Amino acid sequence: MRITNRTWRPLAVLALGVAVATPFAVALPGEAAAEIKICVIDDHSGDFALPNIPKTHGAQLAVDELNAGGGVNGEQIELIHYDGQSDVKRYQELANKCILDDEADVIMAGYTSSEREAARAVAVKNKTIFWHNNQGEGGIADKYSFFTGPIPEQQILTGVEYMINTYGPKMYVLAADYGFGQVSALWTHVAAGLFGGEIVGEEFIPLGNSEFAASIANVQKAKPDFMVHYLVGANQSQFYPQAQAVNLGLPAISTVNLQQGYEHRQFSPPSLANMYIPVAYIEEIPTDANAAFIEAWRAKWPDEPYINQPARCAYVAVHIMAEAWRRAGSTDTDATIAALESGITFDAPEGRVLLDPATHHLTMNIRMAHVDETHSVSWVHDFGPVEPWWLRTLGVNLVRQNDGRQYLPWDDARYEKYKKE
Amino acid sequence: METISFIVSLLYQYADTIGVLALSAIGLIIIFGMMGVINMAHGEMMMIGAYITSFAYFAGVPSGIAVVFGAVGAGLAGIVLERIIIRRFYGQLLSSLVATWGLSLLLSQGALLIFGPQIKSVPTPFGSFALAELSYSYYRLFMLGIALITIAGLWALFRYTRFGVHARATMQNPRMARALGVDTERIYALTFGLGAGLAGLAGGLLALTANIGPFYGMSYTPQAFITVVVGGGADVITGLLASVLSLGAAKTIFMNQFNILLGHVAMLVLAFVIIRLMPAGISEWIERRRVRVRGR
Repeated sequence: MRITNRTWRPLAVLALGVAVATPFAVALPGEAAAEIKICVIDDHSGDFALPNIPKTHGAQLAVDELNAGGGVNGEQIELIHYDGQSDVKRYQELANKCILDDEADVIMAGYTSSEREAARAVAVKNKTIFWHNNQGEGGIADKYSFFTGPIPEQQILTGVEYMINTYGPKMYVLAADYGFGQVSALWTHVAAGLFGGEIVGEEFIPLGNSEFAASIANVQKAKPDFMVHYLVGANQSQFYPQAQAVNLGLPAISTVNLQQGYEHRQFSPPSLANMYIPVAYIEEIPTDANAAFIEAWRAKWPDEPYINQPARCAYVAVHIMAEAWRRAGSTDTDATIAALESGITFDAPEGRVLLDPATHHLTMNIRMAHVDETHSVSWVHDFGPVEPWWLRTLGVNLVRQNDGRQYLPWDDARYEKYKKE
Repeated sequence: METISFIVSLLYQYADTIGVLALSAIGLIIIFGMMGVINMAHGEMMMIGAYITSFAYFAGVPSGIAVVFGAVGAGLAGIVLERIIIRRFYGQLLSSLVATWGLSLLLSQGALLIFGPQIKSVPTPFGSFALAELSYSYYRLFMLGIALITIAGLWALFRYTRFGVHARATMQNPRMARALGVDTERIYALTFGLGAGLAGLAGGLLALTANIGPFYGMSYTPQAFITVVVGGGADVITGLLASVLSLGAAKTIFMNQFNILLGHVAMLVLAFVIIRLMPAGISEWIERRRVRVRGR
């Protein structure tokens, strides 16, 4: 084919457009005397922008609070933010930029497990402290990696046990067909085995799928007492209006909804009616500390649509880092990790959290939220502080040795009998 | 009892699948079949329809009329885009592909910037009914009904109206049509507007049973494209019907018997086989048979 001017011109425009659109990093306003650098990589554009913009604000709020109080060890903290654009390929590149160009003292990055792993690999290789500030599939035991979000033993084991006791043993699992969904489904098998439940159906949904007529019929035929949902992303969220259209009417537990994408505010009621969500934090958490937290937040960002769990995670992570730097008296990596492993507590909006030295995960208060027909949230159960105990039972103790790997439920001999064929 | 439940459930799933397939493909096949333009911004036309529907609904308009607003709004947007951009690329398949793709990026990212990652969704009307132990949605069946009525309406439009005759003349031989006094520019703009409007209608109807965001249309476009390619451009209506019925059957049966992934795979494999045997689509194949029979 001859390339005519007419064919070529739009192509050239497109190529130029792509080149120009290559994003610029936005450094949030820091203080002049900034010495301590926190590098945050959060998605502010693309599919995951919605839950991640509050997440960066959480880190910013903590930094502002610390700087207003005179900084840490007499030094101001600078927050550097890069937009990950919901593109896992950018995470490795940006993590390198944080370490090599900005010489950041700590990296906080990643929304999905794949983003997290891309950035974490770079941080660990360069012996830089890394935080993941979102819920996760758990199991990571690594000297340089720290986590503020709830993990399966805090959400799935507690939540599924509650559902079995409340509604009966039979459950139907709908899980996104990728890392997080698969590992969560496996933990659901463990929970069913431990607490006398029975999985009467299980489906793995391709990430791009948005049609659920077949799945909804399958659920109805299996007649479960409740459903377990690990559905992620805009496409899979189409399950809810479609289930609502046929009046499926089954109670469900989800460890994904509300706490990240505040679906109860987004979707039209009653599509999430009778859903249970075990959370560490959502904006509705009924504590005085949370009321003060929300007030401080709204003073800075009056138009924030919702303060979600990643926002609280980032806020907590920055404050725990500050306490570690104080205890270490410097930002030296080894001294800071030793301080992080000295049993730091922090009064998070939902209650006091403890950074568990052995596993680098938090002991945190978990509560069960229930969504009704009008999408208002009520609190039906308080599990109290739940420890990140599972890795410890596998013999993990990061204070003594660095495992540098991720454990999966089938690495646990006790759970092998629950492994599905 | 079990068998009845199974059959009803399978039929319902088939109706649900072909309703969505037909709705999401109608606008695309009109523009491709009549104008030879592959409209990569089809999903964004659906998105525009859905957005207008949602905004109208929350401004107090009843949902049925809100959907009409969505369709008309997307149609007008289509006419404007045709006049400004698309008309410069007629007869250049690849250029029009790149141009409409660029348009698609502009519209979806623009919607993200202006309205954010999600807008409020419209409640589903009509409720549900239970039959043989399972429950079903009236609205999902209603969508199939609208799809069929739309297809019949299009057939009548192109067969019986003055616009239809002029449009067909323009597509067959634009120079001759012009010589005979047909305003071909206007026909092109109206046809593109019609395609975009039908995409908007699909977007609006689906918006009543979906969560809506800037990339909302994109989840329907891949299968809409497959439907159009399998159907072919020789006879838009026949192609669309044959394509929707066959692809929908493959998808439904495999989804029902195995799982969602195999449902998608079965649809793609069938599309592959059909295109291998009938490279210009089912409608062209039927057309050729018809001509041969007549020739004898």
